[in-house]
Amino acid sequence: MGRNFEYSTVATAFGVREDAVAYLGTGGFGETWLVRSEDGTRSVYKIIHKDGFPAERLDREIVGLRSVDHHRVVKLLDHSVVTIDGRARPTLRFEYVEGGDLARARNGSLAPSPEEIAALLTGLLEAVHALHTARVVHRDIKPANIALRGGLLSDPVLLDLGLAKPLDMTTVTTYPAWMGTVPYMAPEQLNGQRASNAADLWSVGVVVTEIACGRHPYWTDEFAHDPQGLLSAQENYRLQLPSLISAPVVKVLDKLISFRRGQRGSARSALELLRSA
Amino acid sequence: MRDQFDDSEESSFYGPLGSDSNDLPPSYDQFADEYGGEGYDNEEEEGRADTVSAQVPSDENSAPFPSPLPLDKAFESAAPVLLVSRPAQKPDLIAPLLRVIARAEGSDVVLGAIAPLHHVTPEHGSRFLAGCDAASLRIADPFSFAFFDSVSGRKAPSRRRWPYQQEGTLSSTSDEMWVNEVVHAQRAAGANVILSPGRFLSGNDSRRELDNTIAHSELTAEALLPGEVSAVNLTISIHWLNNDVLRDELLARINEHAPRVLYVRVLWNKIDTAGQPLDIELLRGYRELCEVTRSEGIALLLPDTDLTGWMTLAWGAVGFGTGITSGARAFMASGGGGGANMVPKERFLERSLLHTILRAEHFQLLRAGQVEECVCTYCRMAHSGSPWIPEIQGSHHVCTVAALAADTHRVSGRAAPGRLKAIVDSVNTAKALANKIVDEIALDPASQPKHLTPWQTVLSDSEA
Repeated sequence: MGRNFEYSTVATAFGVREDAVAYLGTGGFGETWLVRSEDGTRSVYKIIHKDGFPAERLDREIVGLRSVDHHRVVKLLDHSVVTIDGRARPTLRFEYVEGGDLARARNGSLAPSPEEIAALLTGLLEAVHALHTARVVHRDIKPANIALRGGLLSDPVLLDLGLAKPLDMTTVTTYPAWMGTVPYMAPEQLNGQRASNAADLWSVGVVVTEIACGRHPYWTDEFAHDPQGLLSAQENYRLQLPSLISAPVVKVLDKLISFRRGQRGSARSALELLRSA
Repeated sequence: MRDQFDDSEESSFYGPLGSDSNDLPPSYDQFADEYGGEGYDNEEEEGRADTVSAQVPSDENSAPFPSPLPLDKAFESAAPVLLVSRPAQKPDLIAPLLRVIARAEGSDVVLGAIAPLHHVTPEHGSRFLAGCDAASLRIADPFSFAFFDSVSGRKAPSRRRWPYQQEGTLSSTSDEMWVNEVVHAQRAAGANVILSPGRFLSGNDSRRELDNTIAHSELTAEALLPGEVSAVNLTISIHWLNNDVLRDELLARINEHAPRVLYVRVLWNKIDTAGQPLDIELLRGYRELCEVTRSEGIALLLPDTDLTGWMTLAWGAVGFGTGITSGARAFMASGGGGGANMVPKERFLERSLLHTILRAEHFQLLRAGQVEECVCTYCRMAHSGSPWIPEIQGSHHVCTVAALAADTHRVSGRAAPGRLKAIVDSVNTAKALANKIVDEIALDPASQPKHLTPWQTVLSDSEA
C-alpha cells in the first residue's frame, strides 16, 4: 500500500522540519512515521488514515496497550489527534526502538547462531507472555512487527499491537496490505475463528522457524490464491530445523506450530521449558 | 432404618426389568445414586438394617493416622489424590474409611472428601467435611447443573436446600451475586477447595458455554479467602472429549485461562453394571486432557471416575474420585440397575482383574489360587463374620482403589513420570489373568473386564 501523506504535511502536523520526519510504512488502517522532535527525541507515530475508523475500537486498543508494561513490548507513550490535510486523525505515539526490524534483517544476510535463535524465541515468548497476562492478543506477529533493539536478534521488541487485524482470508484479500500477515497466520485465523492466545503462539513459532531455517517453513506465493492449499500445507508441515538447534528449542517450536491449537500450550509453559534446559 | 443424616429420597429410576438381556439385577452398589437418593433402603433385606453396620471397630478407628497434608502441600505432592464422595445415606461411614486408608497407605495417596451439596443441608453445615480429618482436600460440590440445566437422562433433585439452588435465582440475581452464593454455600459446608458453579456444557454453543464458565471461574477466584484454593469446575458432555474439534477448543481455552486446579466431570454414555467406559475416543480425549494439563502445570481432578480415573494417572491426572456407591464411580447419562424389588448380587472389586466381579467368582478364583485374599479392614470384618452388606462392599471397593493408587505411586518411584509404565504393567497383568481364567471359570458377563482391551490400546498409543 502506498504512502497516504506527504512529508510536508506530516511535518507541519507535528510542528517539525521536513527533514525531521521519516516514513516507515502503511498498513490497512494506520500509517507509521518516525518523528524527531525539537529536543532530539524520536518517537513513532501511527496515524489512522482510514476514514470512519471506529473510535471505540481505538479506545479498546489503547486500553490494551496501556495494560502491558514490558521491555519486550513497544511502549505506548500517549494518544492524541493531529490535523493532517484539514482532517482530524487519531494518532498513537510509541517509543522508537532503534535497530531495524526482523523483516529487514531477514532480507539481508542473516546467519543466526543457535544461541541467537534460542534468544529470539525466548524474547518473543516473553513478549507474548506479557501480552497474554494482560489479556491482550496481538494477532499480527510477523517479522515486520518485530523490532530488534540495537539490531540484535537476542533483543526483540514486539510492535504494532491490536490495530485492526484481518480475521480470515476473505478480509485479507480485500486489503492487499495485509497479505504480509497471511504467511504467519494460524490455521484457525485463516478459518475465520476468533484469534486467541494460541494464534500468537503459532505466529511466534513460524517466525522463529523461518529465521532458523533461512526460509519460510511452508509458505509459497501460490498460497495467496489458494487458502485450502495453505491450510493443508500448515497441517502437513513437519518441523525440520538445523541440527545445531538445541533440543528444548526444537521441542518448543514443535509445540508452537501444532496445527491443533489445543496442543500449543502457553507462552508461560514454553518459557519454562526453555529455561529449565 | 434411617439415621439423622439420612436425606435419601425415594429412588425413581429403578423400574421393572425389561426384556433387554442387558438389564441385570442390581448389585449391592447399584444404588439409586441420582441426585436425590441412594438405594440402601431399597435394597436392604428385612431385618438386617438395624443390626448390621460397616462401622470400623472402635479400637482401629481410634488408632492414630498420618496427619493430612496442608492443602497447598497436597497439590505440590507427587502422590495421587483420591477423592471419596459422601453418599446420600450413611455419610458417617466416610470419615472412618478415610482414616483406614490413611493408616494403610500413608503419604502415598493424598485424600480428599467430596460433599455433593444436594446431599448436605445448611443445618448440617460443615459437619461432614470437618469430620473427614484424614482428608487434605475438602470439596462441597455445588452440582449447579443439576438444578439449572437439562442433562440427558438425569433428573433434577427434588429438594433445593441452599439459596443458590432456588428456582428463579439465576434470572433474578447478577452472575456475581449468584456465584457468591455458590461460594458461600461451599464455605458453609466446610470446603477448602472452592469450585466454580459448574453449569453443564453440552457443546451446542461451545464458545458461549466456555465464555460463561470462565467468567464464573473468575468470579469464584475473586471471592476466595486466605487458605482456600479455587478450581474451575467443568461438567461436560462426552462430546467435549471424544470429538476432535470440541476437544481442541476446550484445551485451547484451558491453556488460555490456566487455572491452578481443574475439576472435570464428564457425562458418560451408559456403561455396563460395575463396568468402565469402552469408548476409545473418550479415553483418548482423557489422555489429551491429562497431557495438556500436566504440561501446563494444571492440577487435574476427575471426580466420579473410579478405575478409569486411576488409569488417567498414567497420563498426568493429579487425582480422581470414587465412592462407596455406584453413583460416585460413574457420571452417566442414565442410571443403571434393575427393579427395586430384586435381590442384589454380592459383588467384589477384584484388584488383580481391575474389575468388579461377583463375590462368588472371587471365591472361585481364590480357591483356584489365581488371586490373593484381600486383607483390607472391611474384608477382615467380613472374614470375622460380618455379612457382606452394601457398606462393606463399598468400603472394600474404595480401600482397594486407594491401594491401587498408592501402589502405583510406590512402583513408579514416587515420581509422576514412572506412572505410565506402572499402570501399563498393571493393566497387562490384569489382562493376562483374565485371559488365563477364561477357560477355567465361566465369569458372569458383567464380570468380564471388557475395558482392559481398550485400555491397552490407548495406553500403548501413549508409549509410542
